[in-house]
Amino acid sequence: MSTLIQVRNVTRRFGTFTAANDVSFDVPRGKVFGFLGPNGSGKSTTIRMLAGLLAPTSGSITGFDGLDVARDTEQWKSRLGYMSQKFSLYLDLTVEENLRFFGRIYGLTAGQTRARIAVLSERLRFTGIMDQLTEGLSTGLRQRVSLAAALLHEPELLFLDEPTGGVDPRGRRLFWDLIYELAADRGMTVLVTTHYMDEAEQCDTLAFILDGVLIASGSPRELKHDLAGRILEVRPEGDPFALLTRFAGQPSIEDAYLLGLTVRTVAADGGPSELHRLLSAFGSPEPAEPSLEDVFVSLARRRVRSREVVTV
Amino acid sequence: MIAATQLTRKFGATTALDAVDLHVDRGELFGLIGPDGAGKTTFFRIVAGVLAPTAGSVQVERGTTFGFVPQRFAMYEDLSVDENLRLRAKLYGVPTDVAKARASEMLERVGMARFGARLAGALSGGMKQKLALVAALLTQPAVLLLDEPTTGVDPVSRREFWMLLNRLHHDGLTIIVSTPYMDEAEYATRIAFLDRGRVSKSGTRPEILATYDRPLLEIRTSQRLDVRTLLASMPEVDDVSLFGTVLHARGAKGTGAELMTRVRARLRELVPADDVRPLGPSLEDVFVLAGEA
Repeated sequence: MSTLIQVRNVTRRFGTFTAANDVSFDVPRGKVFGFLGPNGSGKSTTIRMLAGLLAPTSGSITGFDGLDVARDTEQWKSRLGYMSQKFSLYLDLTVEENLRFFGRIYGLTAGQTRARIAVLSERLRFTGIMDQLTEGLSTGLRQRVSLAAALLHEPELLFLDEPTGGVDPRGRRLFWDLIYELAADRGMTVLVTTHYMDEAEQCDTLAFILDGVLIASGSPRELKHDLAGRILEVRPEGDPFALLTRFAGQPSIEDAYLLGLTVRTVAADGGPSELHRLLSAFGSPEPAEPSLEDVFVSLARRRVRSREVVTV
Repeated sequence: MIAATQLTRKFGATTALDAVDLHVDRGELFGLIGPDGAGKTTFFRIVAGVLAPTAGSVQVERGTTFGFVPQRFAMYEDLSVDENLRLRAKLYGVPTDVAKARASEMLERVGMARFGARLAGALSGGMKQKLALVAALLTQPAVLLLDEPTTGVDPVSRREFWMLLNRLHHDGLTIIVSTPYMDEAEYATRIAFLDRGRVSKSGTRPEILATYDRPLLEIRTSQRLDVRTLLASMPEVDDVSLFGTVLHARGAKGTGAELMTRVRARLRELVPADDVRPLGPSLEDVFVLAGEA
C-alpha cells in the first residue's frame, strides 16, 4: 500500500503549551483515513499543519510524491480540497454562483469550471437546483453542494471535517456511498476528522489523538480486536444502577456502564471468565461486540493510567 | 406524567411536529432520537410550556416542575461557576442559603467542587455541560429536559455525563434527553425516533430491535465496489451500505435465512463464504427502514 503523506515527529507548541507532541503517522493513498480525538486534543492543530495552514515547531510533513509542506506550501495546498458541515457556502448566492466563485478561487478557467460543475452536479444529484439560493436548501443538499465545491479543482486529498454530524442516517449512508465511489474512481485519498463514532466506523484506518499524542492507530476492526470477547451484558432482575455500584473496584472489571436497564461490562485483561462468574449471580451474561466508543474510552483511560503509546 | 396527543406545531409552511403521540412515565430515562430538524427542540419547548401547539395537546401532571438544559451553553462565560449558580438561584427565587447548600452538594457530585471560582468560559466542554446540569437542578425539578447535552463532547466525558444521568434517574428523577446519535439512544430506558416531525418508532431498545423483520448480512471484502454492484443486481437484496472495510446487505421484504446461501453463491468468485455472515440489526438499521415506509 503506497503512502500519500508522511507525518514524522511533528511537534507544535503555542508558548508553553504543547498542542501536538512528536506525532508520526502515514496517510495511505486511496483510502479513507479517520483522525479522531476530542475537542482540545490536538486534532485541529495537526490537521491545520497537514493542510499547510500552520507550521510545525519541529518535525516534517512530506507527501504528494516529493513535496514538503514547509517548502512547497502553495503547491501543497493546491492538491487539497476541504469540506466541513459548518463550512459556509454563501447563503445569499445561488448554488451555481457559489460554485463559480470557488472555481475562480481555485484559478480554473470559466470553461473548466462550467464543465466540472456539470459533471459534479450530475454525480452528486443536484442538477435541478442550480438557480436556487443556498439558504433555502436542506442540510443534505447543502452538504452535497459543499462537497462539489471542495472537489471542483480535482484534489488528490479531500479533508472532511465532521461531514455528517447531525445528519439523518439515510443521508449519511448516501453521503458515504458517494465518498467511496469518488475515492475508488479517482484514487482520491480522504481524511476525515471527527469525534462521532458513526463516522469513525466508515473509515478504512483510524488514528486517535489525545493530549497532543497519537495513542493508537489501525482499522476499526483491529482497534476493536483488543476488546473482542471481553464485553458482557447482563439484564439484572433488580435495580441495574445498584448492581453497577457493586461492581465498582472489582479487579476483573475494567469498565461498567448502563445501557438502559442492561449493565454492560468490559472485562479487565485476562478476566472474562472471572467476570462471567461474577455476572452469573445476577442474570445470564450475554457476550456483545465492542463499539468504537468502548475502544476509545478504554484507550483514553489506559493512557491516563500509563501514559504509553499503544499501536495496534 | 407527560402525554402528547396528536401534537402538531407549524412554523409558516414548515411542520415541525406532525400529530405526535408520545407519553413519558414517572421515573423514566427517556431518549428522543432524531437528526437535526426532526422536531426535538420544538417538542421540548412545547412540553416546557414556552411554545404553544398549533393543534393537539400535551397533558402534564399537575404541579410538575421542569429543569431544562438547552442545546447551547446558556451560562455567562465571564462569570465564575459559583456566580452563575448564585445568579440562577436568585432568578428562580431559591433562597440563598438553600441554593448554596444545593449547589455545593451538586458540584461535589459531578466532580466540580474545586472549580467554583473558575470562569464558566474557561471550562472544558464536558464541564460546561455538568455546570448547566447543576444549574437546571437548583430548583429541584421533578422532570429534567436535556436538549442534545453531549453534542461535541468527547467519549470519556460523554460516558461520565450519562453515569450522572443514570444516578439522578436512580434517585427518582424523570429525565427526557434528546440526541442525534443512534448509539447514545442505547443509554435510555425507553426510546422514540423522531423523523421529520413524526414518531416513527418507540419502545425499549429490545422492543424496537424486535420489530426489524429483514435478514442482514455483513460482507468483508477488499473489492467493495464490485461486490456492491453484484449485490445491487440481486432481487433478494434491497439495500447495500458501505461501512469502511465491510458492506451490509439487507434482504428484501419476504426474504429469510436463505439470503445468506444466495449471496454466498452470487459472490463466490469474489468473496470466500466465511466472509459473508449474518448480522443483527442496529437501531440505525431500524430507523433507516422505518423511514422508507
